[in-house]
Parts: sequence; C-alpha cells; structure tokens
Amino acid sequence: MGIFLGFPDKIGLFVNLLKKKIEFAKNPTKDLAEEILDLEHKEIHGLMKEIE
Amino acid sequence: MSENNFELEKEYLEEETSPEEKEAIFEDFNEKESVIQKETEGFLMKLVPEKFKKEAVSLLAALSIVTSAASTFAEGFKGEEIDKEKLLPENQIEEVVKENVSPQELFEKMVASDKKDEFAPFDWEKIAHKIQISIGGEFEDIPEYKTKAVKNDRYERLLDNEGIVIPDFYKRKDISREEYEKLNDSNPYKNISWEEYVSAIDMEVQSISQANSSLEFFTKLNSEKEKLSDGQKALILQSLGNALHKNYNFDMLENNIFVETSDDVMFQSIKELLTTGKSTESDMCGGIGVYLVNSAESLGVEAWLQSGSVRGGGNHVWPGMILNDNGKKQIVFLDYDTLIPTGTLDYRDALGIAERYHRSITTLNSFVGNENEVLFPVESRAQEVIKKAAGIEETAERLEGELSRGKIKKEKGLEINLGLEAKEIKITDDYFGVAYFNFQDSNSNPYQSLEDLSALRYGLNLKGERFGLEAGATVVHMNIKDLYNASVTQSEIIGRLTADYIDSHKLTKGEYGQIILNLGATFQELTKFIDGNINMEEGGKGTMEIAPGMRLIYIDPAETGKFYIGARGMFRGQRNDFQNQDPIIKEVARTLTIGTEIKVNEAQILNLEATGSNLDWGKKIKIKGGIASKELKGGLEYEKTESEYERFIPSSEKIGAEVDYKGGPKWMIKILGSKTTEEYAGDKKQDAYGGEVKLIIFLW
Repeated sequence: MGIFLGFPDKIGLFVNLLKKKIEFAKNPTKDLAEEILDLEHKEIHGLMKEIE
Repeated sequence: MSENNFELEKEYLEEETSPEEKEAIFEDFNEKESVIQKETEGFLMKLVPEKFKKEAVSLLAALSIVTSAASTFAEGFKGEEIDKEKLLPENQIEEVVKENVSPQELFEKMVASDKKDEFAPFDWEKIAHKIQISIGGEFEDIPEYKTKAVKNDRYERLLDNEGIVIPDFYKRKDISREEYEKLNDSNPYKNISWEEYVSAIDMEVQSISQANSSLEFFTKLNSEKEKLSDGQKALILQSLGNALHKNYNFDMLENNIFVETSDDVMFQSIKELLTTGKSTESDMCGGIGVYLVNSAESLGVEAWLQSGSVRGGGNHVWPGMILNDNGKKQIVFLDYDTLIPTGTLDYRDALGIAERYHRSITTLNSFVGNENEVLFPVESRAQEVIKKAAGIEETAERLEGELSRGKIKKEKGLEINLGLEAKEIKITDDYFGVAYFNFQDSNSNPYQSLEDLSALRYGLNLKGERFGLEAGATVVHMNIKDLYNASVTQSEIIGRLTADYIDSHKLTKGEYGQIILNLGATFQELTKFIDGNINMEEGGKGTMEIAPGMRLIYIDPAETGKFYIGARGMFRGQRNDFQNQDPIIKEVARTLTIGTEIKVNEAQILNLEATGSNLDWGKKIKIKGGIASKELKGGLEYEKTESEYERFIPSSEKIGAEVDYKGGPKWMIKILGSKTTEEYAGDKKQDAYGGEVKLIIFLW
C-alpha cells in the first residue's frame, strides 16, 4: 500500500542513486553521467513496460 | 599498459577537465535527466485511475520523487568536502548498495542478521522502547459565518440566442437590469442602488472606449476612484475578470509555454470584446490575476495574488482584495468574474473560505504574492491538519534539533495523541514507521474547510550516525466542505523525502575546556498526487527546502557550564512571479541561536536560550529558560513575531510553560500550557489557549 514500504528491494537502488549523484555533483564526468542516466532510464522504462 | 601507467593517465585525464567542461557536463546531464523526469510525469499523468492501483505505478512515482530529490540534494553538497565514509557511515547501508549481491538479499541480511534480536515486527516489547500518551487541544472562539460566491457574467450576455453579437449590448438597460437584480440579492451588493450600478458600468465602458493603452485605462480608473464606492469598484473588477476569462489563452496551457504578454495586449483584448464582441487571446490565470490586481490598485483597492489548487488537482492563481461591506472591512477573493466574500480579516480563515469555494485543499503550493513577485507560503487551518497527518516537520526546526544533538535523531516507540479534533497513533521502529491519523471538525468551524479526514502514513528510515534518509507516503481520504452545506470526497497521496546530514567535530580538548563544532544540512521534498494524478504544483514536484547550519559549543574544563552559538539558513524552491512562473531558489531565513547550560549545584541545571530569525516575511525572537533536577523540570518560553506582511501572516506573542515530573525510571508526566495572541492587519487581537498532558512510559 505505501509507496516505499512495499519495495524493500528498491532501497539499494534509491541509496545507490543518491550516492552516485553526490559523487557526480562533486566531480562531474561523462561516464558517471551516462551511468546514472542509464540506471534511471532502465528502471523507469522497465516499470513503464510493466504498467502498460 | 601497466596499472601504474593507467592510474597516471586517469589522473592526467581528470586534471584535464576544466571547470567550464565540468559545467557543460552538468548542464547536459540536467537536460537529459529532465527529459526522463518529464517523460515519467507525463506517463503517470495519462494513466487511467484503474492502473493507478498497480504496484508498479506506485514504484514509478516513488522513483520519480527519488531521482529528482537525489539530484537536488546532491547539488546541495556540491563543493563540500565530505568523505564517502562520513556520508554513509553505517556498514548496513553500505552493504545494501554493493552490486554483487541482490538488494533483496542484502536488505533481508541487514534486517535479519545482526539486527534480528531487535527486529520482530509484531513483538510490541521489541518495537516500543517507550509509550507516549498525550491528551490536549487548542481553545479559541469559533465565529459563525455563512457566505456564497457571487458571479457577474456580463460579457456572457453579449450574444443573442442565435449566437450573434448584440450591438452595444452594454447600453441595453434590460440586460443590465437582469444582471443587477441577480447581484443585488448577494453581499457585498445588498446596498447598491440601480443608479450606482448603472454609473459603475458606464464608467467602466467609457474608460475602456476612450483609452488607447492600458496605461491610459489605469490612469482613467485612478482619476475616478474617489467617486466610486467599494461595491462599484468590485462590480468593475468582476466585469473585467469576466472579459479576460472569455479571452483566456488556452494555447499557453496546451503548449505548456508561458508566452510573454503585456498589459497592452490584455487591455486591447478587453476593448476588442467590448466593442466588437470578438474574443482574442490574452493570458492564463496568473497573467489575468496580475492585470486585475493592477486594475484594483488603480481604483485604490488593496489587492494581491494567491495560488492554490482547484477541484481535480489543477493549479490556479486568483486575486484577493480588501473591500468595505457595510462599514466592515473584509478579505474578498475574485476568481475571474466570481466574488468570494470571506467575512474576515484573518488570512488563515479567509483561505478556508477559498478552499470551500474551490472544493479543493492546497497542501503544498499555497503562496501569496503581488503583481511583481511570489512572496511566501501561507496556510489555512485545513493545510495545517494535512501536514500533521503527513508527518511533515518544519525543515529549519528539524535541522536545529540535529545541530543541538550533533547526531541523527533515532526514535522508537508507540505514541498516542488525543486532541479535541485530531487523534493519532504512531509506531516507529528502527527501519519502519506507521501512523494512523483522524480528524473531525467537531466545532463546525465555518473557516475549517475539512469536514473530516483519515490518513494512513508509512515511512522508511535509513539512519546512520551522520546521515539519515526518511522516505514516506501518506494516503489521505478527506471530505471537503463546499459553501452550501454539502461536501465532496478527495483522496490524495503525499510523498515525503527527507535527508539529514550532521557531522560533529571535537576541535580542542585540554586545560581551557572543549570546543565542539556541529555542521549539518536538512533537505525536504514533498510531492502530492490527487486521485491518481500528479498535481502540477511547482511543476509536478511539490515543494523543496534545504537548510544548512552550524553550532559551536564550548564546555568549560570542569564541565559545569556549556555555552553555544549557532547559525542556520534556509532556502526554498518557488516561482519568481505569478505571470512568468520561472523556478527560483530563494533564501528565506537566517537564524542565530545563543544558549547556555549551567550546573547550579550537584542536583540542578539551569538553561537559557535566545534565538533570533530574519525571515522573508518578518522577524522572530524566542527566549526560553528552565531549571532541571533529577525528578522535576520546569521551563518558560516566550516567542514574539513581528510581521512585515500582517495582511497574510499575523504578528504574534506566545507564552508557554512546561513542567515535567519523572516518577522513577519507568515513567514521566509532561504538562504543557500556552497562550498565543495574534493580530492581522486591521483586525482585532485574537487569543488562543493550548493545553496538553503527556504520559511517557519507558519500557526498558
């Protein structure tokens, strides 16, 4: 029922994303940018597919 | 290539990236990420309600919040020297993010291995370290008030039954008479005569016909202001609102682009409608509101702009003004051509009437402003209740607590709060929190737009010594009163993400005593989803606040006295103005705290603290002091605010007292009392009394 309570398997993803973004804010590189965008794109599109 | 060479080349490459290149990478990243976010929001908004029940939709919404929030939070740390270890110090959290093991396995390991002795979801003894039961409430005079919205749709009558423009429709007394009789039945027009009505309409028509520019029109209105009553001025403003609403620019809404318009474009659209009956596009609600405020000010009427949500979750901007009705000044809102009298000068209460008219409660984007800028958020009684239900804390207060402790707050326990209108039960564990909140408007307060509300709140906590992440969602079901003894149901989900960072450094320790420096930052982002749709408040993201701060603490060598000084700031994401609506980050508060704790004797400690804040709406000072012994603790608190915008936020004084009695290692009682006096501009002083008794039982 809860947005977050139901998804313990995604905590790793959320924290990992935050960690990578802090790294990126401190030292922006093209590789890290691509890595983060890929991660977000993959997760979000995976979910969109599942919903449709 | 040897490993050393590889490292050297890597270092060389890193050194080669110039600040400009880094900025370019950053900008490119932000652009690409905003495309992903817009795509996600667009996808969620198009979903039919049945699909919203799917678990994946909630997860997608959660991910949408986390991706945007993580970026903002990370940028807050840009340039700060923070070691990885300091950021995520706890092994358990680090473990979860390792990529060679599945997150599900790691999460189970985190919960079940070294914490398994503590973690047992339905073992009450394990869950609750303490039980807190609180009974209390606020007591104040509740006024009686009934109102209704008054519509003036004069320009709707310019077409005949065949859809053909009636020549000189504004000169047709039969059309005006019909309109007059309808309006004359309602406040604030009960005392307006037919002659006054006709002269106001004539004045409006002549001012528009004779002017060639908006400036000329405003000048003309200004020259006539002394001859007109407040009722006549309201008629003219309603009529202008009706004309501009007919010329609403739907293209701007569809393309989601705010086209630059000018006062002259708006004025010509009114003139064209009046003289030819043709509609030409003007602006959206924000621009129309700005034009109506300019018109009102030309007529000598105090006016401003208010933003909020309307039925179905859309965002809206409308003007508010002060009108004299039978010798009594009151706040009146104007929604295009509809006048909403509120019968009060208490802005918090007036917002309640606006919510009842719109049949929607604005939880996150209720801002007030003028024709040039968006000022600050304002809250109705209902918004205060919803924030409590969603467990939303003030960002700056939260940071102050972290700076005082020097570490992240960890709470465990069962809390039951019983108020006169609100009841709450809350269970907080190491990782999860769940709460049920219920509210009933038992006073039948006309200014409380909520009839009743029930909310179920879930939270997830990841807390180390220095870094804490809280993510939560509150499912809210409520009945909102309308203006006519009926109510409508609304459901919404409020998502909350809070991140706290706190670091404590012992700078010196020796014969001169000890100096400790606590540095911290708190970030909070809130998003609202109404009936399955993302609300477009603040561009679909809700609200965002960041507060950084520090506290320097000196402890004397004998450890009998402590002195501290601290400073914190606060920044909020909001819109620059109601017309262009560009997002900005605004510094909204600077606070200085000075305090001391002195050991009077072996058994008693005296504490004193003074806090001064410069806020975007005024100044606040708070002085508190108390004395604590082993069993008894007493304290007094005085808070005074001086508002520079008393129309919207009252100046106030609050005196509070607290007595705590600890009856042994297992329980304590807290008794709290307060008196608050508030004063809005032009209104009488209002007193409210608060009282609360808390029983706290420590289980272990």
